Amino acid sequence: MTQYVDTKIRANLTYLGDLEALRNYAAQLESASREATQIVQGWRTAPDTMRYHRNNGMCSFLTAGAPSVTPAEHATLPYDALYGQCLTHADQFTMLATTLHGVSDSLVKAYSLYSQTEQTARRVVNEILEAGIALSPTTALYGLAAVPLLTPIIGLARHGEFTPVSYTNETAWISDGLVAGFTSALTGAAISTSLGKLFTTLGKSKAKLPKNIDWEKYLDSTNLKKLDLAQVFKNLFATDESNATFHKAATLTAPLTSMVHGEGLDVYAITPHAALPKPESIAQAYANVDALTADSTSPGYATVCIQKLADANGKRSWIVTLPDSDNHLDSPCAASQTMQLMSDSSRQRLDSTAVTFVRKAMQDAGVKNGDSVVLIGASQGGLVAASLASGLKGTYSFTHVVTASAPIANHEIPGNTFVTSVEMEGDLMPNLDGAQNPVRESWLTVQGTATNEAGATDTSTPVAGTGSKLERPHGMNYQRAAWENAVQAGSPAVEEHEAHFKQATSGKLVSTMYYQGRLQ
Amino acid sequence: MHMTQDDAMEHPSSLKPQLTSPLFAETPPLTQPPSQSQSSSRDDGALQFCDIPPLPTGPTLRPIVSGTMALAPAAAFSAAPCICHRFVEMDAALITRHVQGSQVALRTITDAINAYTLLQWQGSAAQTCQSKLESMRQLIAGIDDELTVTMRMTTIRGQRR
Repeated sequence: MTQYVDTKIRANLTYLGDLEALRNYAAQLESASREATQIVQGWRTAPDTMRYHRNNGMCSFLTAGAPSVTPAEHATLPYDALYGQCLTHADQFTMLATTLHGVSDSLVKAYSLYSQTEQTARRVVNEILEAGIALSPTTALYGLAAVPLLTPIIGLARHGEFTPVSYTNETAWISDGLVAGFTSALTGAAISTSLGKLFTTLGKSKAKLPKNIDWEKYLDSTNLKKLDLAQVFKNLFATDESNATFHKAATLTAPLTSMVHGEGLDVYAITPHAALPKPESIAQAYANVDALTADSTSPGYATVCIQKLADANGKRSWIVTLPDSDNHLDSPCAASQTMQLMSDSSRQRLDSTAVTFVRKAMQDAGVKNGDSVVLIGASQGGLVAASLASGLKGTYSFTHVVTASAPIANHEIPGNTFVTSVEMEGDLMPNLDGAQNPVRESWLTVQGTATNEAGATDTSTPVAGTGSKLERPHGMNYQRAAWENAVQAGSPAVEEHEAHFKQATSGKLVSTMYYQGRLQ
Repeated sequence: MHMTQDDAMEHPSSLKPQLTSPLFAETPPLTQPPSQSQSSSRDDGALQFCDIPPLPTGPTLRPIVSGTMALAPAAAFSAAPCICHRFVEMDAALITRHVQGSQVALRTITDAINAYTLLQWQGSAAQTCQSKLESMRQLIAGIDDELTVTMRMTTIRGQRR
């Protein structure tokens, strides 16, 4: 017994061709598949109908007679052969239906044919939910109280079992709205930061959605003239509420964190027992993160691995594999750093000890301004990667960022940096940003869904090291299985990102360095 | 178990109708075994029943005919075929209907497959899907042949008199 992963590939492939025509083709194949399925039903039931006619006792010859010795006044058919033919046809049409459905599904998945539609629908639902929570958090809490009642039913219906993880699994599609809505409500942040500015412009001192809207004031022509309505509309659907909340929270907790963890940072090189290989593919990159982070193979404290590459012309480039958080209080990558790394302020993110640690390690390894750097990180490591790629875009040339289970939707990573992300539905970590990752040619998100054996399909990928029960899909084994599943789909977006990663890491491995840090 | 003519001669009562329902009331008792071979037709018009294989203990059944036929005089029954004809015709029609429906579906599927080509698309998924669809064309041709075979099997054996 093991757990399985299926994926959806969220990518923008409009540049490849007429996606609408491909979508119609996939729909046509699916419709043909349904027609074949109907034919199957007919062939499957035909033998029973014939048996009923044949064995009803009205004519004993019909029951026992063979067509080769048909006597006068009687009639028959080669029934046994016909039964066989019916089942043969049922099998043949089943094969047709299955293949057509499989091809249609493959096209939908590989070419992200409904990615945009699904993303938009999810966005709308979550924005409405978020606004509802912001307007009336108490009512929303009552609504949330219904979740424990409904989740077991939904979990049993969908997966045939109910575990504590069912709560996050079954509410994954509204998790963005819940996170953004409740974080806004708890910290008093506006539904969106920019919307807060709007109310400030209109004379409201508090950046909150007012309960009693004074429409006369808001619709006053003098006030309206102050506004760029296009900007207002855009801001109304901003997705940065959660990050704004983390910014506020990190500002409040920073002094306490410094007091507990210390401010001085000592970064030093170490030599682990086993060296990480140079990642030749994104799958290998995830395997390296796994090796760097897993309890059995990790060097203990959070360790960053920096690999120096050189191409045929001697031009150097770097692969920086980042650690996840650890549980040591004096580690620069303690779990408490997540708050700062989630801030909507780039300055605050760069000031976090996790980023400072990696920057120092990179400087010590010899990474120079303008060098090409590939960043790889999972969970908090992914947050550090996104913080570096967005905050130091003018310092280094970040060619490719590979993340897993990281809430980086609102980190402003430049468009010329390729971002490959894996996120699992039901995993709370990537939902902390309360938003979906942007969809663009250079940003690919593989959205995995974990399921047990009952829900697995022909295209599902088994997850290594899992048991019979549904569990929190945060581990690297889930992220790796999700990526493997996406690779098997043959998506041009996945292949393009693989090719880009290969090209960005094409240099020959010169050296591999490892660094740890301590707060003092 | 089949009963031979000799068996019937030895145990004529075994062929005697045991039921006394109106359905069997007009059926004269069988006092003599059939004079001709069992596979031969009965032209005397005296009795219409399924004689191959005869039921070992129960009555031989006269075909049930529906509607006005059921009320027709006894002579009319001599020309009536066994009920098996109706069932066989229904089954043949059922298979014919399924074959025709399947052929229509095959045409729809073929049209759907031929409506577009995936070769223009990047990505190995397009190539994989295209080759699957190509092999489906061969499968469809094979199914079509098989349907023709099935259709031939709907030729009813045995003739009405």
